[in-house]
Amino acid sequence: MAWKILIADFMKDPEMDPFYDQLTEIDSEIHFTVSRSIEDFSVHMESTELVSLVVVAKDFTPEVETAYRQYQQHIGCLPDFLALICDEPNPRFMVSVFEFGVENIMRKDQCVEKLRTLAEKVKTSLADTSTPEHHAIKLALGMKTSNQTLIAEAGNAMRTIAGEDYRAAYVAGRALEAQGVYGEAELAYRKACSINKMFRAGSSTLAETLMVTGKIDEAVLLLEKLEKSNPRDIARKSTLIAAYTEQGQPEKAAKALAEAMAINPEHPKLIEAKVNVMLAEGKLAEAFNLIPKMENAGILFASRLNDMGIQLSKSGKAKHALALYNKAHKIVRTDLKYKLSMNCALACRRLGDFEMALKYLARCKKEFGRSYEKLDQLIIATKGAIEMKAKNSSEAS
Amino acid sequence: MTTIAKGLIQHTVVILVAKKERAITMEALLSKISCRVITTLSLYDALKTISQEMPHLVIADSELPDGSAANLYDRLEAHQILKKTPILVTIVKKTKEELQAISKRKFAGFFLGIPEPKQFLVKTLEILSSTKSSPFYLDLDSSEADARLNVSFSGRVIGRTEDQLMIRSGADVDANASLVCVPSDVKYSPILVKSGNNMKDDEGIINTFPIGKVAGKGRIWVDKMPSLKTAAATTQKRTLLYYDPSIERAVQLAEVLKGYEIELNHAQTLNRAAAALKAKPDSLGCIFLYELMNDASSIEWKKVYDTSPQGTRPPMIIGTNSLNNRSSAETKYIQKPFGLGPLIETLEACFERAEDVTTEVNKSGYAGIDVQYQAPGKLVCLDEIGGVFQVKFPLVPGSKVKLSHALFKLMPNDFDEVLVANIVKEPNMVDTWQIRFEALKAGTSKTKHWEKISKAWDQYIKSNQAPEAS
Repeated sequence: MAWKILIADFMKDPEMDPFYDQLTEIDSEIHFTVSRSIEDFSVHMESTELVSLVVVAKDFTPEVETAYRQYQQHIGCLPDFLALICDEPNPRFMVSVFEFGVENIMRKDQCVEKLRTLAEKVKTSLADTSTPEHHAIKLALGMKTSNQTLIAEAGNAMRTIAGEDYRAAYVAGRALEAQGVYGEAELAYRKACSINKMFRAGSSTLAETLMVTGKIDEAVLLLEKLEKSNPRDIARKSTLIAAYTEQGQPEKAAKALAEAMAINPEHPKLIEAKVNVMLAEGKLAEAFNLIPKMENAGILFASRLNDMGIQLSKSGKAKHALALYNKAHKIVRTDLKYKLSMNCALACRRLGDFEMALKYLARCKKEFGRSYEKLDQLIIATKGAIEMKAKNSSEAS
Repeated sequence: MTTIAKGLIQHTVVILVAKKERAITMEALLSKISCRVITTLSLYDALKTISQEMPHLVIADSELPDGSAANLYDRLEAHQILKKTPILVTIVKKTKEELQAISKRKFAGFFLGIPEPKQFLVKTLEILSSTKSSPFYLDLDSSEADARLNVSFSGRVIGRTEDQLMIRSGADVDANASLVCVPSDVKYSPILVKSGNNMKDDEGIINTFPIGKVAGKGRIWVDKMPSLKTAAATTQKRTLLYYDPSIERAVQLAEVLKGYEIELNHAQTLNRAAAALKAKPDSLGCIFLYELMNDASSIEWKKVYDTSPQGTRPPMIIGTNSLNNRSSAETKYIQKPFGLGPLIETLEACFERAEDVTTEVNKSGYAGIDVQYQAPGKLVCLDEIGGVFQVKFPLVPGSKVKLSHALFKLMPNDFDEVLVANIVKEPNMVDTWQIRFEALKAGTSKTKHWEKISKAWDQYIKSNQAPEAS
């Protein structure tokens, strides 16, 4: 199989062109593809052949952040498969890319040889079926194609060696998260961070998972510690804002929000932070207006909306709950959509619309990639309810 | 086809002249091109020297006190091994008899009369470069032999701190090296270590590796090891003297390092850095020079650094653009541009002091675990004293390593401990280094060694040839 190394050159640096010309000759099994716009980049990210990312940049621009963040969402944090081409990055830039696991920084004039080394590393790591990289790519493929078998296989393989390598523990955590087993995912992320204390991407993910599993105080402590080494990471600050809000510390949340706004008021994660604060303050209408502007919301936000929907549904406001779930479905990460489809189905059942519930359940199955016990039970029960309803109505007529 | 890097192999040249003064200019010119030169004044001495030294070239006068260059040629031609030795002849008198004797034999070249220095060098270099590294040369590249090689050397895991794994060994390790550590005791599983640093004390070298990057089944025994409480964890030892002409970069770095509990003292000039070092050397955990130019201030800085008391002199990290600078225990080079991870790992390693580690190890009573470091390499060639292999990181000249290859199994013990004689970066690759090694054992002659290698090579090639289809 041929693998793709994507070079994101949003600066469209003309000095890089002669180097790009030389990349085709590096390896027949590794394709280097240059992407010069964020739109084109997002299309490449969906490719199942994509394994490695190299960014060409002078500073930590929003495009650079988006590139690394999208890679992290689609594939994970694989330090050996990530690189930056920059002649002289300043310390703030270094710390910002380190959050995504980027340690390999290369000079332009040396990039062809360094990329040759990267290609060799990618090839050997993926050919070896025992490496965390091999399973991370398998897991990414499973997540992209909603293939739960691939997800489970990658997760199981990495769980057995999670104690031996922080990358294996991290991949295991991602697989468990994709299967919705957050408690176990938390343990795997803890392992990754205890093996490698400098694994920033792991620590940030652990903090989010702690929030999902309800360990808000511990999440706050961890996030505050991470803030000390990089107070400029807005995505993480947004999690901290959510954590303070959850903890009932509105002053701290507002202070953190103001700090984040001062760094970059346009940052997409700030919308999530604002929505979190609004939801906590009970400003539901305002929050709902902002939700459609969000994108790729993670487990934390998805679970918050989930909880809110359940409360609405249980308090007899199933219609509101359904509207909320549908909004959330549009903005959450692909691997989390199935959960919202399931909740939509449950809300429809509460509303007595079993036909619609069945449609949501079919969507849930498609998004998850296969059926599972709870889904099967619900499909049977919904079909039974439809039959019962039909029977009742025919009897009535 | 692998190219042997320029300057990796030192050529040996034997000069055979009738009068000693004839050799003076040639010796000087050959030294200029880094050749090892041995001068002989008789055919008898020359033959003795050639059989001992297996030179890559002999430069001989056509007429000698006890014979001639023709006699030399005939004697070498009759020798199974030495017949490959190229001979360059200087025909001094240019008489008919002299020329007749020469013309009947296949010499590598001639000088008619005493050559001009330039002409001499051109011809000599032409002959030396016509053979890859030596006339006695086994090329693994052009054969079908498997060139994969295992390079190893021994060490002893002596302990760990919160951040670093400590291994005492006889060799410095490079930050770019990924090494498999295989414990001698099979009850312990292997580990993979990388991003190594080195420190020195009276007992030798301690290699340190960031714990976070230790991977493999053996991670379990590493995690169970008692953690040493060295002074590196204390605040006064986590102060960094940082020289950087850019204030903005220094401010940003100080902000980042604060999160790692490292305090940064900025010096905008090298003179200020020197003054800070002079004032309180023992309050500094480490020095980081973002750059070191080749100017007067750097000479002054070096003077101050070298004269500061050895017991309190902090280790120094220098940012460099060069690929060829190699770190030592006291001065570490960090190649620019660097990532935050490698920088923090290097700083953490520099905050540790070998004496401190040794004291804590002794206090802990930890017995240690013997290990073999292993790394894959590529065998390029073998010659009369050793050969050349390639690895993905530089080794330190003077260190001793073990080489494992199927061919070497036919010569047990010969490659168990080879000496790293010279290293040069592979000319066509950024991250590959060519290592010149010497495998000659004390008391063994080069001819005997080469004979053994040639025999083993024939046997190895035969055993690896595919059987003919029936």
